[in-house]
Amino acid sequence: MSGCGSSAASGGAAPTGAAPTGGQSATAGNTQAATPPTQQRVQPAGVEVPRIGAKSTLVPLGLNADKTVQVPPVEQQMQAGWYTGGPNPGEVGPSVILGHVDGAGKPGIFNRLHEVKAGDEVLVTRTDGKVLRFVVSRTEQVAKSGFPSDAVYGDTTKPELRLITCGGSFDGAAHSYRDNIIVYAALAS
Amino acid sequence: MKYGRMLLVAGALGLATLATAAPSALADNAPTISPPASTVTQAPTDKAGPSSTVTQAPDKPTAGVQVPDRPKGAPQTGGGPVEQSGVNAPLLGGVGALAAVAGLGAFVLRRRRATDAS
Repeated sequence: MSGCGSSAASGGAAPTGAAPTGGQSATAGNTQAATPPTQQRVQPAGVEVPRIGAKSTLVPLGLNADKTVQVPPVEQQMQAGWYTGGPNPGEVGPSVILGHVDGAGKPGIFNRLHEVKAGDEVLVTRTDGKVLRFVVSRTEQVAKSGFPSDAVYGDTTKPELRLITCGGSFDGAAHSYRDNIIVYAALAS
Repeated sequence: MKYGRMLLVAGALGLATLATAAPSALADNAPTISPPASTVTQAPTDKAGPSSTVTQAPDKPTAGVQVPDRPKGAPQTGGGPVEQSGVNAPLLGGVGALAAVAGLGAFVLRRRRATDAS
């Protein structure tokens, strides 16, 4: 029942309340270096992955008390969110969007993320109505014990996007999937 | 006699000029060799400074400026396999229905045989 979302959910599965706000304030600190001031930043509103028929609005996600990234509530398995501690989609840097592979006994928004291939497109709608088109450069399935933090969160020279969900086999004792599925994409134009 | 005196004076003057010129010539040689040697050894050390700072510069951006608050660990984005709660119930129902149909069939066959025998 609890699943691998539980450990994060204990600290706060995210989208509402104060936590995301904290994430946004952290982002505000970041804007001085690489991005425009917070007031001028256009936020992402939705994500679509045509290849797998995934489409969702986006909720802001911050950090839990233990510094792990927040995720949408596991009961809202069809809800995706973006990490506010980094650049917003369209800004230079790695924007991170997270979604559940499953939850509450039902498939999640990124249940078929492992089917995405290089060359596929990912569309991100912003609050100003503009649609950003990202193209997948590569995908990978990695053990959570060896999560590639540098590849996911490290600096980039252009606007990039990461889609992340759980994958691999399910560890019943740990109530967690053993792997992560990560999709790397870059802004098309 | 005059020639002899003149020769002596000339010889003495020659020796005197030789004696004064030789040290200065040696002194001129010495500094011209040593200063270049010292500047040559200093030059590489001056160049080493800037070159080392240049190689350090590209390393700094990889520290993570764009995501200053980098999350720890791996994201936990799953509630558990769908099969655990959703698929087992219909599967069990199907197996039960099959068993019921088979049992009913066997019962009907037996009854037919019994009526045929009588």
